Amino acid sequence: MNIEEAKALLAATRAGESDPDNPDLADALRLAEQEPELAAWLETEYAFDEAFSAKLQEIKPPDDLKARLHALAPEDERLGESPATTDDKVISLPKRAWWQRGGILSAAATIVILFAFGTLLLDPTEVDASEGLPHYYDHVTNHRHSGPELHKALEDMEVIRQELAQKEHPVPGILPDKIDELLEIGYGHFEYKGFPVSVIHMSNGHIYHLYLIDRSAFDADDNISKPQVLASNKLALMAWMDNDHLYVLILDGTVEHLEGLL
Amino acid sequence: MPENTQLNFHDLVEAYYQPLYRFAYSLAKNEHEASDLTQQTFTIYAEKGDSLRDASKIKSWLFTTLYREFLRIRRRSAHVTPQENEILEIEAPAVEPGIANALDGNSAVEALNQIDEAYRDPLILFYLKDLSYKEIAATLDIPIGTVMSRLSRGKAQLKNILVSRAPS
Repeated sequence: MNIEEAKALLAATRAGESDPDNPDLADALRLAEQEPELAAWLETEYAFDEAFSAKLQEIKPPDDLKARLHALAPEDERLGESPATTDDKVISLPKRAWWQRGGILSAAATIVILFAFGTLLLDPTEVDASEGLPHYYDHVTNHRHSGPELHKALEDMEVIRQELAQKEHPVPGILPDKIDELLEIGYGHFEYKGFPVSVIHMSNGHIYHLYLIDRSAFDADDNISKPQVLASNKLALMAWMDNDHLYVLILDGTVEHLEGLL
Repeated sequence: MPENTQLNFHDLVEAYYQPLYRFAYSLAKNEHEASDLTQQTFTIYAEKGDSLRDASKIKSWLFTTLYREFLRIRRRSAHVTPQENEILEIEAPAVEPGIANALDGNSAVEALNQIDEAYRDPLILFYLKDLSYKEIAATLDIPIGTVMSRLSRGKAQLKNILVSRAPS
């Protein structure tokens, strides 16, 4: 082994650590003990590594991250239900259209919706909702701030739909394409005024929570005639209804980010 | 965290959230995504960690889970197609430790992210110093010999990047 070969091996080592199962590395370390040039090079190498490592240690998490992580703790340190198996009963799911459309939005409807979104872009804090909905928005954003419990981790929306249906919790219909593309993490559930609420945890690098509740939880006047994107309780929300449910997608981020999912 | 201790979610958060966040930040390069990856990792632990009874394996499991989540998101977003880059032998220039001292945490991450992906990920774990070589190999799902060769080549690239950025 020459000095250059030894350098190539030693460059991958940390000071004080070596692989006892690697005889070539042992040879390189022995050579470094005998060759002053190699010894000096290795000392500089370790000093560089130490300095670079120290710079990575300067990276600090956001102040609130630790609290958010603690909030994820299972109650009594208990974990969720056992994972789904292939033997689970498959339930046929109702096919529902996104945004009350039968299949493909007509061009005219698209223009109307885009116009509506354009208006919201100009004033994302404006909420076109009756009294019942703001209360619900307040409730679900507080729920989101508290760290929604993940009752079961699942990465397949179809399986989530089946399990929610089995539990008689609201089941999502067809979702907008960009929301449907988000990675599913799992689901949770709770009750709001006696009505079951499903919470689907999703991600694409950001964490999203999709809250579903039956429309009958609200008065007939509490109708969202067009999708809304708004800021509420320091969170960004997108709300829409289909024939059966109110959907509220929540992101700890900006309304502009949510609008990108439309 | 000592081995064979009683596993407790809050203890794990205290012990590992900062190293995991640093790993996530080094991969993702932004605070939001790093926070979400860290959060997602502990969420998955809360759901699936009951099968882990050996405390000595928890750390490696958490790093592996975070890395897999990162790759899953990258693949799904289709911004990057993971691929093995052609192995290029690059001579490492002589670099004094002072060139690293002149960096801050963000510029260190930026430099790491200019390295070919195959070399970058083991090098991040090498410099974070939270995992042994064996654990790095397990986290990245590559043989330990491959880890060593990628570290050597990755460091050569890193030094070239730092030298090229240094004021003449």
